[in-house]
Amino acid sequence: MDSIVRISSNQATNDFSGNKNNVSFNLDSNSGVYDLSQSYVAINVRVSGNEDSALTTTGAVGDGSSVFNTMFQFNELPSAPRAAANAFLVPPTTAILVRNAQMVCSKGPVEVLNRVDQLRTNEYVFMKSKQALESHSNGIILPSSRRRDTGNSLQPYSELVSVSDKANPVASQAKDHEIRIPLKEIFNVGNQKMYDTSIYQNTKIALRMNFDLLSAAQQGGVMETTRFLGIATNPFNGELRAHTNDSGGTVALSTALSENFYNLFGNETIPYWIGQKITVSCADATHAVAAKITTITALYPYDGVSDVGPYEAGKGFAVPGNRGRIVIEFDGVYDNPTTGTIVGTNADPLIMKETLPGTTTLTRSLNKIELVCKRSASGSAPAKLDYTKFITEEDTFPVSANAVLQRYYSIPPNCDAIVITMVKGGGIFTAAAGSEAVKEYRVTINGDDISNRPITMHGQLHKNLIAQSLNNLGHQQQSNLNEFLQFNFSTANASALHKANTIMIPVPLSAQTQQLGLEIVPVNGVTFGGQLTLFKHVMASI
Amino acid sequence: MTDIIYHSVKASNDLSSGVGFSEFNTIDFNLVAAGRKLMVNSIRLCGQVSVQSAGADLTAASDVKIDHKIGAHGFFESFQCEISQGPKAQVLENLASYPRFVSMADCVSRNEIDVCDASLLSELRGATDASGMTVIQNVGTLSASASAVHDALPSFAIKPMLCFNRMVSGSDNYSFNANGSIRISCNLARSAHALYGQGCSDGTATYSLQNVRLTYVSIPDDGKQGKMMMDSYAFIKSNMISTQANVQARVPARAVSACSISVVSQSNETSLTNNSYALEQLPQLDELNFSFQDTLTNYITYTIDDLQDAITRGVKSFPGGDALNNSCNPNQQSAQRGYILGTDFDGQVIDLSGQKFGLNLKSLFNNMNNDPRLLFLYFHNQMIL
Amino acid sequence: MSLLKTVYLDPELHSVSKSEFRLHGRAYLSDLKILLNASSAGNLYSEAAGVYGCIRHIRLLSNGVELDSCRFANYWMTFKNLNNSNKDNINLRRKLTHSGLGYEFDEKMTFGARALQGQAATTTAESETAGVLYLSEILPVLNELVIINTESVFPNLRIVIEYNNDDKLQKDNLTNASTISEPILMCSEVLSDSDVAASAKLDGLQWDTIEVDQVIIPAVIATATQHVIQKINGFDNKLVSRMLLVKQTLPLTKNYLTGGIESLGYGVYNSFVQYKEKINFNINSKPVFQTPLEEQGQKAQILHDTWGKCNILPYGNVSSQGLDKQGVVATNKVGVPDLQPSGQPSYKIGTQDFVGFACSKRVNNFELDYSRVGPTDAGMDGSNTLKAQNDSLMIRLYAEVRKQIEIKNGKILVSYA
Repeated sequence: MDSIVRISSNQATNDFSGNKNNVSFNLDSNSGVYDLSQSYVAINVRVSGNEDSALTTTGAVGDGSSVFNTMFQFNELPSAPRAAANAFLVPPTTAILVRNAQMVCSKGPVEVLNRVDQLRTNEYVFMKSKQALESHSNGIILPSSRRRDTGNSLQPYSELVSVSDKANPVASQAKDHEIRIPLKEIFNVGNQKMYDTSIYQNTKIALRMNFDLLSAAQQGGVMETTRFLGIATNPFNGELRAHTNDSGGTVALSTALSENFYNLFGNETIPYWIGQKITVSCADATHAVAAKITTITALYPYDGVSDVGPYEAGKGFAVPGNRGRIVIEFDGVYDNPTTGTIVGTNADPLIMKETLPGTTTLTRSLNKIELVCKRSASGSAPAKLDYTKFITEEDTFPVSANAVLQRYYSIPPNCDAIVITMVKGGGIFTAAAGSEAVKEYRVTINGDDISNRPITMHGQLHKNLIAQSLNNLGHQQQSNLNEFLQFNFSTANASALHKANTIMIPVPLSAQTQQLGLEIVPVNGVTFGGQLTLFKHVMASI
Repeated sequence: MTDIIYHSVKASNDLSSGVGFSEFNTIDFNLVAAGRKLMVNSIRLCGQVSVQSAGADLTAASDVKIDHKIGAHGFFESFQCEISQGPKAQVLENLASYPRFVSMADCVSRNEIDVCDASLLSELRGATDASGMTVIQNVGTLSASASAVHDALPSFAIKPMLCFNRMVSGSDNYSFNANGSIRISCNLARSAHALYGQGCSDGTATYSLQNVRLTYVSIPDDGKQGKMMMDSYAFIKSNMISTQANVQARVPARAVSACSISVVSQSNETSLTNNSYALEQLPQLDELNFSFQDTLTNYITYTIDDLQDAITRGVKSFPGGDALNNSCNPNQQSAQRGYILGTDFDGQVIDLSGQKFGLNLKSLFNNMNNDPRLLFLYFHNQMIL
Repeated sequence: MSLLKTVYLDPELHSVSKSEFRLHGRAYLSDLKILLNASSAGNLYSEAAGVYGCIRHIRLLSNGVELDSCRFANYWMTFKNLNNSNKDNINLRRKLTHSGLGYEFDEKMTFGARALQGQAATTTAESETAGVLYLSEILPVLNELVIINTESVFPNLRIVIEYNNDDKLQKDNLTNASTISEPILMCSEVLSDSDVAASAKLDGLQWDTIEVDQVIIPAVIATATQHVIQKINGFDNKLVSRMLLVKQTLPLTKNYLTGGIESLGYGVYNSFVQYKEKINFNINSKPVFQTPLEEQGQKAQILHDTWGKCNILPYGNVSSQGLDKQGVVATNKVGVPDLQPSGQPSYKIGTQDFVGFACSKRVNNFELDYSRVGPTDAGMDGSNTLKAQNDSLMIRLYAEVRKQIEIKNGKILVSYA
C-alpha cells in the first residue's frame, strides 16, 4: 500500500503575508516513486471577522461569540476597474493562485510555465461544470447556492450550524481550511503516475504564488426575505429585508410582501446559523423596536409543546403552524417598553438583518503550505517520461479605435494546440481592453486559412475549434457555456455573465516549425488593444 | 438481437389486496426462470405507497415526509439475498441499515439537481426536504381546480442496491440453470424511521406499501456461466459518548476496498420528528486517524485535522464517489446533511476478517456525553461468483 | 501534410423549405455536424426541441439511394434532447441545442432552465444563436462508420434537410415569426491516402435506424373508460430493438394558452400523463408486460432502463405536484418546477410522460393495447380549452429497426435485416 505524505515547504517560517509569494518544495533523491497525478499543494488558511467592528451606535457590546460566514475573494488586478468587478467570479481552478511555476531535477528543467493562472483559468473554464464548482469543497470560493431567498452560500472557512439540538446546541466555529491545488492543474507533468526520484534525483518545485491578490471578504449581506407568520392573536411577520452592505438603510423587495407564508421547507433553507450576528428592529409607529444587535444562540425545531412566544423575556420567536417550524433564540430582550409586546404586521414587519463586520477588520492568515503526495517506497517506473508542456509567448498591441490586429507567430515543432488569452494589465479573467467586443478572427497555418470564412467570436465555429483543441490537450470537455461562474448569480444577474474570451487553435502535428497567422477584428467602434499571450502545447520528454 | 422477457413477481407471502405491507413486515420474492439468465442490474421493486396520519390521508398542511435523498428506499430497513436452491445455494449478503447506505451513496455522487432524471424521480427522490413531503401526497388530475381529483396513490419503482444490481461491468448474466433460484427478502422499516416531520410527533403517522412486486429482465441461457463480480457491504455500528472514540472493528468480509462512515445523534435516531437517516455532522471534528493491524504507518501517514480534507476522503471512499459532483458541501453540512467520513484502501482489497481496522476520532464538543453520536461504518466488499 | 482538414461547407441548394449539401471530397470522418439557425425579432426556441424544431425530415443519399433518414425528426430530436443527464444538458448541450432542458435551482429553490439563448434578428448559422446538429444522432448509420468514403463507396453523397415552417414546431411563443438561415456543414476531410484506401474496402454494414409509425386515439368523455387495441403495421417483418411511445394532444392549437400565442408547458411537444392510463404491447400475439403498465414510477424506471438517462422535471411525469391543483396557488413551493407568476403550479407538470421498452425481436404482428379514463373535463388553466387528459391524442411510436447496406459491384443495396 502506498503512503500519503505531507512535505513542508522550504519557507520555514510559513510567513506568506503581504507580497511574500514564493513557495518551494523538494522531492529528495531516492525518496520513492511519486504519483504526481494524485498529489497536490495544500494551503492551510483561516479567514475571520472581528465582531467588535460590527457594532453600530445602537448596538450592544459584542461578546466574542459571533461567527461570520467569511470568504476569500480573488482580485485578479490589484486596482480598479476590474478589482471589484471580478471579486466574485468563481475561479474554475485553484491553480489561479499560482502565477509562475517551475519543476527542475538533476537532468534539467522538467517544466517551466509562466502565467499558470492565466492559462489554467481560461483552460479549465471548459473543464469544470457548474456542479463541479459547487461540489469542490477544497476550492477558494464556493458558488452561490440555494440558501432560500438569500442568494448566499456557506463557505468552508467556518463550520456553521443551522439546526441543532435544543438542550445541547453545537456552536458554530471559524475553522482552518485547506485549499488544494492539484499538481496536474499546475504542471502537465503532474499527470504522471510514476515519478521516480531514484532516476531524477533531487527535484525542486518552485512556485510564485498570487497570495497578494487574495483578500478576506464577506458576502454582500443581501438577505432577501424569509417568511414567518405570527401566531393568531399576535400577528408577527418576521422578514429579512434586502439591504446593501450594512449602510444603515433598508430597501424592501416588492416581491417579498406578496409571498408571505409560514412554512420552512427544510433545514437547508434556513438562512440563519448559531453564532450569527443580526440586528433586530421594527419600524411600526406604535410598536417600534429600536434596532439592537444580537447573536443567535440557538436554532432548533419547534416541538409544538414548549411555551415560546414572541413577547416573553429571554425567549425567542416561535413560529406556530404545522410545518417546518424553527425557533430562533436571541441574546437579550426585545420588548417594547411601553406595551410589553412586540407586534409585527404585514406592513411593519419585524426586521432581522444580518450584521457584518467592517471590511477593514476581516483578517486572513495563511498558516502553512505543504505538498501532499502519494508515494510508494519502490516501483518500476519508466526511465524516460513522455509528457507535454506549454511554451509561453507574450505580445502587446497598441490600443486604438477599430484596430485590426494582425500578427505572425512561430509554432514550435511537435505542437498540437495553441491557447490564446487576451488580458489587460497582467490580469487573468479580464479580456484586453475592448476585446470583450471581438467580432471575429481568422487563423492561418503556414499561410493556409483554417476556415473559408471568419470565425465569429463565441459562435459555433469558435466553439468547435475549442472542442478540437481541448481534445488535443488531452482534456474531456465538461462545459461549453463559455463563461465564468459568478458568485452572486441569480436570475436577475443572468445578463451580466462574464464570458471567457479565449481563442484555441488545434494545430496539425508536425516535426517542423510552422507559422501561425492571426487576424482579430473588433466590433465596429470599439477601442481595442492590450496584451495577448500564446500558450503553445508541445510534446516533451525527460 | 436477444429475446428479452420482462418478469413480474408478487411476494410469496403476499397479503390480501388493499391491505398492503407496513412496518416490520417481511416481504419475500422468489426469482425462477428455467432456461434463462437474469440480466445484470435489472431487478426493480415496484409498488404504491399510502401514508396516513391519525388514520387519514395527508393534507397539504401535514408535515409528514420521507427522506428526499433516498425516496422509497427509506421504507426498507434491510435486504437479504440468497441463492435459495440449486448447485450454489448460499446466503450472499445481509444488508443492514440499508437506507442510510443509500443516502450516503446518493450524497457522494449526486448534486442536488441531478434528481431531474426519470430513474431517480421514479424512486420518489427529490431535491429538498420539502420534496419528501410532496412525493407522498396523493396525486391528482390535470384538470383545473374545481374538478381535480386526488385519488391516486403515489407509485414508486426502486432499484435496490443488492449485489445483483451492483454487478461490476463485464460480469456475465446470472444463469438460473447453473446457479439456482434466487430469494430476495426485505424487512420494512419502522414508521418512525421511514417518516419524519413535525406531523409525526403524535406517533400516528404510518405507511403501507401496496401492490408490491419485484420485476426483472431475463434473456435466453447460452449454456455458459462466466464470472460475476458484485459489490456489497458489511455493516458495523458504534458510538461516541465522549470527545474521543477509538473503534476497533473486525469485519466479516474478505475483500474490503474502503470504509465509509456517517453519524447521527442518538436522540435523533429514535426521534419521531427528526430524520433518522440524516447524515449529520460530527460536531467540531478535531482529529481523525485510520489504522490497519494496529499501526498508523500505512497509507495516510498524518492525522486528518481539516474538515474538508476529511469530507473529501469520505466522498472518495465510496464506490462512485465523485469529488466533482456531490452534495457534501458546507451548505448541506450546516443543515445536518451531507457529512461523510472514511477512507479508501488505495485500490487494494483487504481481508478484514483476520485483522482489525481502527478508527480514532476526536471532537471539541464538550457535551458529547449528554448527546452521544452513533457511528455507522460501512465496509465496501466485493464478491465473486 | 496534415491528415485531416476541417471544412465548412455551404449548402448547394437552400430555400425556406429545404437545404442540400453535397460532399465532393474523397473521404470524410463520420462526425458530421450541421449548424442551424432560425432568426427572429425575439423569443426563444422551443424549450423542448430547441433549434431542432426546424427540421421536418432529413435524408442521407448516395447516387440517389437513400442510405438513412429520419422523418418528423423534430419530434425524435426532442426525445434525444431529453435523453441525457441534467448536468450534461446544462453544461454541454444547452449551447448546442438552445433547448430549455437542463434544470437548475435559483434563489427561490424551484427548478427551471436558466439563461436561455434567445433568437435574434439577422443572425446566421455562425452566430451564437445557432445550434449544432450532430448528424449521428439523427442518422444512426454514421455511428457504424469511422470514415465515409465518397470517392468509390458512397459517391455523390448528399444530405437533404426539409424544414418545418410552422412556428408552432419551432417556438413556444408565436409573437415573432422565424426565418430559417442558411445552414453550414462542418466536417473533417480525410487527406491520408492510406486511410482513404482502407475506407474503400467497405462491403457492408448493419445499423439500427429510427422509424416511426403513428395512431390517433379519439377524445374521451368525462368519466368514461376508453379502451383501444390498435394494430400498428409500420414495423411488420422488421427486427426491432428499442421502442419509444410519445403522446401529442390534438389539434395542435390545444397546446396554447387562451389567445393562442403562448404555449402551455412544452407546447406541441407535450406528452401528457393520462388519467388511469394502462398501456401494453402485443408483439407476435404475446403481451410484453404481464400486466399493463399503469404506475408512473414503473414506467419511468423502464424508460430509463431502456434508453438511459432521461432529463425529466420533478413532477414532469406525474399529473400533479402532490395535492396542489392547477388554477390554485401552490402550497408546495420548493423543489418543484418554477411556479407561475401567480404562484400556481407550473404548466409543465405532467407533460413529460414517455413509455420506452426493449422489444428485441422480429415483429410480425404489433398491437397497441391502450386504455384511459376521462376525468371530469375542465381546461387546464380554467379558461382555455386544453383538456390534457380528455383530448384526442396522436400517439407516435419510434423504433430502432435493423437495416443493412451491401455494396456489390459498385452498387449500394439498402434493405431491412
